[in-house]
Amino acid sequence: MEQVDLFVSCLVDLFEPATGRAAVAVMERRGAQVGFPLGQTCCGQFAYNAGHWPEAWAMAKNLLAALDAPPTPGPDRGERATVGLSGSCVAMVREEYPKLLDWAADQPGWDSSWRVRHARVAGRLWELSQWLNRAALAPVADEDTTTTRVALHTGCHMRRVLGAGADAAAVLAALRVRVATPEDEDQCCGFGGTYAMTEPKISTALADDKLTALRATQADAMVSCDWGCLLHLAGRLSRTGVAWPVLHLAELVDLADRGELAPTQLARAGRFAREVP
Amino acid sequence: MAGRLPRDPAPWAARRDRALASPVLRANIRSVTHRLADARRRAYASYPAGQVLRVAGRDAKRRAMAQVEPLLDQLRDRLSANGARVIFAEGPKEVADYVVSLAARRGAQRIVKSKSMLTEELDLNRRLAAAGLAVRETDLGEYIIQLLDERPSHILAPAAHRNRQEIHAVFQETADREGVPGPTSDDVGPLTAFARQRLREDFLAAEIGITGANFLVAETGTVVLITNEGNADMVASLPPVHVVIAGIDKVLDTWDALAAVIQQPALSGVGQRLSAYTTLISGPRAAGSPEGPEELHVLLVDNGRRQLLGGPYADVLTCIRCGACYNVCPVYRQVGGHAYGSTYAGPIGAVETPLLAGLDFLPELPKSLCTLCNACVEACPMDIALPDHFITLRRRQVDEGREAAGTRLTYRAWGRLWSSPRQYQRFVSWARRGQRFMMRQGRLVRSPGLWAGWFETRDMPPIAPETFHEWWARRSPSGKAPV
Ligand code: SF4
Repeated sequence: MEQVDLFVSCLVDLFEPATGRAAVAVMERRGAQVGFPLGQTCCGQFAYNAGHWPEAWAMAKNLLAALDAPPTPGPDRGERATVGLSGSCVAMVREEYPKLLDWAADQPGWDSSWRVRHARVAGRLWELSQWLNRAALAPVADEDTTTTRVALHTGCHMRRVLGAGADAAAVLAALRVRVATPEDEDQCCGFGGTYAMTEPKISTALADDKLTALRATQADAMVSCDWGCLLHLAGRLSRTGVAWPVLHLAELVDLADRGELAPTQLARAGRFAREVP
Repeated sequence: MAGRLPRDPAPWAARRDRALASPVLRANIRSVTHRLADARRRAYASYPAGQVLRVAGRDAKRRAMAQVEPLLDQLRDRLSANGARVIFAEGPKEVADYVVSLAARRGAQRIVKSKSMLTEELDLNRRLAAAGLAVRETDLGEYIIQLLDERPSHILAPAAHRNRQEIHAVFQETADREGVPGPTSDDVGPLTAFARQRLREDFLAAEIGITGANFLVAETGTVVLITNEGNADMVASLPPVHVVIAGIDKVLDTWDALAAVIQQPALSGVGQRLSAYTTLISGPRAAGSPEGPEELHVLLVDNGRRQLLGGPYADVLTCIRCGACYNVCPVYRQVGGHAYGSTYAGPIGAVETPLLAGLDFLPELPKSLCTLCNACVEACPMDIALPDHFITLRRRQVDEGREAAGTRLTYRAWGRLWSSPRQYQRFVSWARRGQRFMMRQGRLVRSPGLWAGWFETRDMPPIAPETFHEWWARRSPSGKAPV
């Protein structure tokens, strides 16, 4: 049985844990034994991107220690894959941590074993759609006549830093979910970590453009592999009173597995504007 | 030494809001950037050799930046041997003084120019006008913004923020003022015909022509100019004096290096395989030659460039000013170039401006004009590490204490709470208690401090009644999920 550790990201843990639960179901259904390294909090990307590297480094060390710690019970982590539920956070660990490590190497208290631990962790870390795209993907549900269409938003770091821009679409295609590609699909949604807070006007102008393009597909829901982008876009829908289901890929795959892709079922699972009274 | 650049005196918020409040400007920028970005994509897709050349061109630029001083000496020697005067100039004042005294010696009053971002960076036109010289821009875009008394809003297409109707209006005004017939319509043909007619008189009357340079080849002592309008040819050949004003970053070592890189500005900038006009200049008119200027002056300008050589930002000096990064930048697409407040906008401008002029100069540029989407580095033919530079410039601002004290404290606390599992748990319980006062209809709708900006326009879900960590803890040891 394949052993897989889950790296959920702070946003999933705190705000959208249903995504994590869906990911567990999806991975177990594909024969994985799922573990959850308990010490994990946040990859530190928001601090790193804003230039606050001492804080980013503290969080990075915590995450590396958590993802590298031997599990009890179970095989050594070295034989396990780690699957992350955010393309941006996985890109951070794999592609940006080396730069943070180079910086940390010049700081007091540096311990060169961090490079070794990073190499171990990064070498077995995948984003969920990358893992699904190489795991046996025979649809679990035998339903193959769904007319459901989803608009796919691929986060910029997933696409350009991680280089996993095509995996989610491949996963959905294998599940016979119809994918709509919005116009200007490779344009940023305006989230940008703390950019969404420090430059709300530009960030929101970008969100509105992105939502216009996504909604123009007339898809039944939108899906992405990053709750960063999704919280920003769903938060905008919520504030403007638009009800349109927003889901993480893990949730959509879970629904597809269970043959629950009817628009009403998506609507029940998706995040909406303010709770319907 | 740090360079000196002009800036828009308006503060960032005013510049940004002015742009966001102008639907015409935003529509213009949107259409130009999409058109140019699509053209670039198509051009490389249909021309695989372009990619191979791009890599060779990038390497040639990097090689040159690793040995700038000997190459500049070689360039000077070659050009001088051909009768050109080569001058190393520090910054705006030295350049303007040189041109003003040259004009005085020649008794010159009228100057024509072709497009040069460096002379924009040096604020040369204003300085020359202050000395009583009449300067006429002859690139169509530059001519338009000169009539409008504006700065370029795009490194390649200076009037990208203006549409045909607006251009027609300013041409008509100019025609009325000068008592000549205006353009017959706002179609491209009549507009360019009008400009061509007006500019012809200026070309013939000018006593000095000023151009920039796209490349300088040390091996052969060649100044290389590329344009799509041919105006640089006239500026460089009709007036009796030609002044080239170029940054030291333009130098290349060999002719082969030029061959490798020369297509890249057109490919990346406008999606053509080569610019329409390529002009090679190696000296003033030779004895017995029927054409060319009597005098050629080549000013090699530093203005903050040398301080970057050999450092972590040296790749910025390999920029070929193609504008590809502007065209794909989501923030540029929203606000256009003037919001940046600097000569250089877009990703490269937001990075290069503080590098040339100092971190205190327009300090909002690295912070407020980038979402870190990485579209720029993907588009940049020279592979300049723009996103990394944004991040490390932000880090330097933080390290040097330029971040507001409250923000710094917030990050400290945030970092401390989230870098240990126990503290993180405490954060969760505090946040749960606090968020009750910030909710409406089950959504977070406001927050204090750093997060407040989010809630100006967006909601958030509250911290979940059961986090993933808490849910996992409830799972039975057999690994089955709780119901
Ligand atoms: S940074 Fe790169 S993409 Fe931007 S103008 Fe310079 S060469 Fe072109």
